[in-house]
Amino acid sequence: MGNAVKGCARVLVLVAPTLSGCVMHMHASTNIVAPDAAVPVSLSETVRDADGNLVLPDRQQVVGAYDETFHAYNIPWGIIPLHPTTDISDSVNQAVAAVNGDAITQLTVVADQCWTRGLAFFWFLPIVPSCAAYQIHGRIVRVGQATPSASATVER
Amino acid sequence: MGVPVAAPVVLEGIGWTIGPCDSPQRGNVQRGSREALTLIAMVRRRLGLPVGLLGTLLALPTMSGCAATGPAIGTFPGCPVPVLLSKVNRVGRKEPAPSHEAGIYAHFAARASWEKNAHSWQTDRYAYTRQTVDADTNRVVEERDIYSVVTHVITGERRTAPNRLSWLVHDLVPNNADVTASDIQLDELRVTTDFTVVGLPANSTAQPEGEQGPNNGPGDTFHAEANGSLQTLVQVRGRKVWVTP
Repeated sequence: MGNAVKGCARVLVLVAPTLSGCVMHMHASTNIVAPDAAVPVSLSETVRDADGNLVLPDRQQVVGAYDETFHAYNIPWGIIPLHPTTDISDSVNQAVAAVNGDAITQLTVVADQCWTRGLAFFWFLPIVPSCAAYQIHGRIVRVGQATPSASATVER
Repeated sequence: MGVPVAAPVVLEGIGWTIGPCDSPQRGNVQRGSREALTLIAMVRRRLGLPVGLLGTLLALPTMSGCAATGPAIGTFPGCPVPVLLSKVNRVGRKEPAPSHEAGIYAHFAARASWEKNAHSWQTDRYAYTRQTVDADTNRVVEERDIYSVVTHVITGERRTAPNRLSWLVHDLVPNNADVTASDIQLDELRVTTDFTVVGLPANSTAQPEGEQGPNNGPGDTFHAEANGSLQTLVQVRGRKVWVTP
């Protein structure tokens, strides 16, 4: 009962100013996860090998790039997320398997606006979605013995 | 011979000037088409605008046109230890190697953000009343108040330093012993986009319209203003864990 009241109050607080015309708000968000990735996915330049030793870039051979673009939508007025979680495990596994890589390093997440901003004039319609666009980039690396950087190859 | 139309007045509101969007700028003037803005002025006069609806609408094109993409970037350049999104933490192992919490104080939460703000206000000042005359009867069939319209926009942009997330990790792993024996495990990597426009109540110095004909005159003004912000965020939450050799 208490939760229902709180939920209704929250919706009222969000919707009432919007309907009065004083506030226009578009919101979208998602949580990026990779629980089933078969290889280490690191946002830094380093990973650890099977023995737990740090693998610095000089022991990494870049064999490919991981590049994906996603969109996350919320409706209505950004209240309900249609994609509360985005699991990138499958796309990571496919990209790594395609080049026989061992890990992904330097994963970078770029959050950006997307096309729904052009619908801002119609924000009062609950079917108008809010959207967040984000790109994820990373390097697919193969770990070996110390490799001279001059011999590193990049395959795309 | 028809009734003479009011003396021509030079209006400021002709043609769109695009350019107040490159931040930071101050005091830019944006001009709109005469007919469109006259319509806005009529609506504003008739409704009285008790709320900031029109201010909101006015700010929308400003914000959506000015808000060129400015992404927030979540990255950890130069971090000495792995910053892991996956559960697998060793190359060549299918299952995560054992690790344990480094302590209650070894957590961090931070955000990389990009934000653009705009404050816009529009002032309509009565210029003259235009009359349309029927050629056969010489009677005035329509009267319309014409306003000069000036819109001002101030914008500002702010973003976090690209190395900010890395600095937090450096705080958690300050020396070689930490680097050798610890990883950073991310618990949350959240991407958020917000676009907010707030229209402030409009105000007017004009008298309420009567039953017939225009009633606005010199000195009558209408004023509306709005604030907007556009923000992208990459939020991270993580912790330091000790790794087992």
